[in-house]
Amino acid sequence: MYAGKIVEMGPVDEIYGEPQHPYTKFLISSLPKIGDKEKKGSISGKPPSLVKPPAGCRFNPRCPFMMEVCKVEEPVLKEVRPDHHAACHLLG
Amino acid sequence: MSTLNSSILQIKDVTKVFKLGGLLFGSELSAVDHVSLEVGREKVLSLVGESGSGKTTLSRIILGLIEPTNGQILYEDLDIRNAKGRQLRRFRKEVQPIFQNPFETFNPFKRVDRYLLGSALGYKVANSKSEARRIVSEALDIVGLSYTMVEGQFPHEFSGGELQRVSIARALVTNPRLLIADEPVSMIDASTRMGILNILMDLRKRFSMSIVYITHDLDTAYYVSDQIAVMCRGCVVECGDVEDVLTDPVHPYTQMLLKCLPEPDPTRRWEGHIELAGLEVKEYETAGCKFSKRCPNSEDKCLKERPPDVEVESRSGYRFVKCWKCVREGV
Ligand SMILES: Nc1ncnc2c1ncn2[C@@H]1O[C@H](COP(=O)(O)OP(=O)(O)OP(=O)(O)O)[C@@H](O)[C@H]1O
Ligand SMILES: [Mg+2]
Repeated sequence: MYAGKIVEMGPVDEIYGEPQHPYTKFLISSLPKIGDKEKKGSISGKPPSLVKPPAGCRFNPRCPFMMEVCKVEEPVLKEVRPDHHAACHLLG
Repeated sequence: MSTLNSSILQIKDVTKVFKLGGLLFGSELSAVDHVSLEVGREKVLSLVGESGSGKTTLSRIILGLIEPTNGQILYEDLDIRNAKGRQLRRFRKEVQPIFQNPFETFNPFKRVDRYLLGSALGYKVANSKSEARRIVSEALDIVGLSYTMVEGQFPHEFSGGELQRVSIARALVTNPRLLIADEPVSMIDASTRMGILNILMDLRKRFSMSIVYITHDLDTAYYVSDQIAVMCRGCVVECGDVEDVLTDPVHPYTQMLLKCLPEPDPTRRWEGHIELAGLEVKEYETAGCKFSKRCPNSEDKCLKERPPDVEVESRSGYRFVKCWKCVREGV
């Protein structure tokens, strides 16, 4: 969930193993884990205002893969696998 | 255990007994029970344990906010219970807290910049308004903010992550040597938590600060700390180098905490309390090992007698575990 919208949902294992949405991907790669001393980053930028969220995809100002369409059109949840949905314009 | 001056803080056999009210009126609970620990210079010590294990109580004793029933806290060889005047002021400047909820740290009706300037003047780290402003600006820069970003703003105008940065800046105003951070990221948006933890780690490197990091979350404890102390009902049951303790836990309680780590769900894990409310008081009252009522290896002795600290061999400093099984079978 990001800025009040579900960006991805599905089986926990699958989301952890193969996240589809750029936000989920980042979130999971940035989680520290016992046994892994590597420095973890945080997503640059800050969570958007919920009163006036960004137009289009709410994650677009922080997304490294942002395209023109992301600024105007809000992506809808699409089924990427059985029972696994994600809302991102990258996922055709 | 201690070599002279290798540690900035020494916790010596500290106990805090609370008298209970309500239904349990008349009974007592040792929220912190004969705890001895040291915080190394420029080191991060994590205090971990399930809810109600005495972490916050211990942190408030370290900060001098509650008096221990027994035992001593030595900050740089200063017994904080006896600190007065100039020494007490020095202690208050050099040992700074960071709390869980940044919205409770600040006065909701006071502009954040005024609050910070007030801190600089109140602690007498600045003698004039312009000096205070310079010190506050520097502190805000360190946490990735700037004076203009906070000027004229009230706490509710910030996100939790931003305000937690401001509260770290507040702590930095006095140029502290030791930070006591009690669950500093558990209320922060998942996407900005690592930013805050990275700030804490930078502080330690850039300014040689020492940190006590209190958390439920073993993964972040592993990420930020050098040493770790695992608390169960007021007792430290296992303590040592974080790599040793979390990758090769010896105490059954530590093993349970590692197993009980909630499913890797970034939104749920941080609220993950492994609470057993009814058991809590009973466990506190146990004469023996506090974990004996839940321990799979429990024997009669475990229920009746307090286990001693057993040294565990380690290449990275002193490591111990409080467990009768280790006495019986060795480690
Ligand atoms: N002022 C008090 N009077 C009586 N009992 C108290 C008081 N403060 C804390 N306790 C009890 O002491 C025990 C330890 O509490 P403490 O808040 O230190 O635990 P904690 O490890 O910080 O828990 P959490 O992870 O939930 O923050 C609990 O059983 C708590 O109910
Ligand atoms: Mg607490």
